[in-house]
Amino acid sequence: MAANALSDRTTRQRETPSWLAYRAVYSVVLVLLAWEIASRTALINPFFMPAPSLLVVQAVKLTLQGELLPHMGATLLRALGAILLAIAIGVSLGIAMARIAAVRWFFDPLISLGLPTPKIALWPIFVLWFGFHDQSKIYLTTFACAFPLVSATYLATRDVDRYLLWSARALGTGERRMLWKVIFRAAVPDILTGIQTIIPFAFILIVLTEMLSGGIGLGSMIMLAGRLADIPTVLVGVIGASILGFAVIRLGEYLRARVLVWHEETTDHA
Amino acid sequence: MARLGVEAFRYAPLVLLVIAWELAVRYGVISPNFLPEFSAVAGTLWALTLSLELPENLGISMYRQAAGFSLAVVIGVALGIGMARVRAVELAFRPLVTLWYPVPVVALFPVLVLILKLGDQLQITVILLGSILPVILSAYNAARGVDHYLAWSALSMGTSPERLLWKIVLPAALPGILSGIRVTLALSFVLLVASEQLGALGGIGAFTLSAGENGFYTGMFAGILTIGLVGFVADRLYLALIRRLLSWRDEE
Repeated sequence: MAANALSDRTTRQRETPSWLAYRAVYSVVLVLLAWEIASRTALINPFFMPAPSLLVVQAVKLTLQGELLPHMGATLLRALGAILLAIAIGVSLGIAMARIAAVRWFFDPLISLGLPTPKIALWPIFVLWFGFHDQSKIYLTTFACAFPLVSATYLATRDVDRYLLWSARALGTGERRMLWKVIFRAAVPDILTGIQTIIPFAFILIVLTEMLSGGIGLGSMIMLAGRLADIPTVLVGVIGASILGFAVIRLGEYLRARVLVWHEETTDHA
Repeated sequence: MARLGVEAFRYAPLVLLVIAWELAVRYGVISPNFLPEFSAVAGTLWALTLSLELPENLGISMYRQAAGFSLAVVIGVALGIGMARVRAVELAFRPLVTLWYPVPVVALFPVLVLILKLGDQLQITVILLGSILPVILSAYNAARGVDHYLAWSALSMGTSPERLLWKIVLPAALPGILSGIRVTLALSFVLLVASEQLGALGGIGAFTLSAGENGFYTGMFAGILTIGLVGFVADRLYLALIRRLLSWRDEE
């Protein structure tokens, strides 16, 4: 579910000729065109699948009325907040689990029990504890995203090349310096992959909790429009959420390349 | 016996946590309005089981999950392998998959309600549409990754294309496909619960949400524990199944 959709991103960058990328754009345009024609000729029900051009018109209208951007902003801020919180908690807990036996003993069964269970089921509890506003949405999303991140960080830190550690120790590296200069650096690529994996989950969960609670946010806008059978607005909201998620996924890929400037993964095809 | 001891030590934190929960509420560290005692939740869980309220809702939910998940696996594997092996299928579906990839499917819930109305078909469709992508992608990548020499050798020895699919491509791609299906399994439970919370006729997600809205907190916690347990058990059963299916491989 990470950012590597149909092929591994690093190999794609290296191998895909640019004409293939253009072809991908063409085929997407083709799909949109087919949708437009099918909807206009009522081949598909235009009430449920309004033509893309109508959606663009609706998006512009909502933006001019000031009814789209505030929702998108609220969703974006909540998702970013939840992602940052999940990184802070997940990465530190994952490293602690890999380094400290007592922490590992306590959290290992909790993580392995919690990882495959649907955290969205806890929504009523989070509402009871934190109310209907920002907190419950952000905390539930943080909680759900922390599990895969703890697991990714733990595995990445645990599996750091032992020869690397031995060499550093032989060269007189202290334990604290070792954690920061050797272990963390060696684990960073896999930790970043873990972070990139939770980005789409975070957006889905924020939109979902907004749908369950009302107020401001794309999810609430979608739910309200749905009750009024205003399908163009629903679809504009869904596309808006997709664009936000896509933009943050791209941001993550960009930051990864910046953070890993020193890593072979980046320098290889520079 | 030694193994039992190791397992007990391993899962001791869970027991400690439950004891801490019980004591914290009993001695007033946490208000029971925020967190009912564990013993009270367990009592409600038992009562709801005997009254069949929980088993009935769970049955409804499991039917939806099983249907949506199986459809996603069957259609997803067929599409993924088709895209990897047949050029026309790839040309037709690749743009759709690219467009579909970033769409949060649960957000389409209001449209799907209008089209499908409330009922099992609604939840099944949400699960199918929302969880099929990991199967397609892993089947596609795994089938593309199948060693060309393997396929060529088989073909040169006179294997028919149909036999090639069943005897070479599918087994070789199986490990990759199975790991994609594990993601889909977890996703299908998320989508099940989410779509039942958004609107459903019965089901464990709807039951839990309405228990919370009506202040029936022990029932709400009992429902949530049930969902968590079912998700966990499904994942463990699936892992056991994978181990059996892949026992013919020499690695691991």
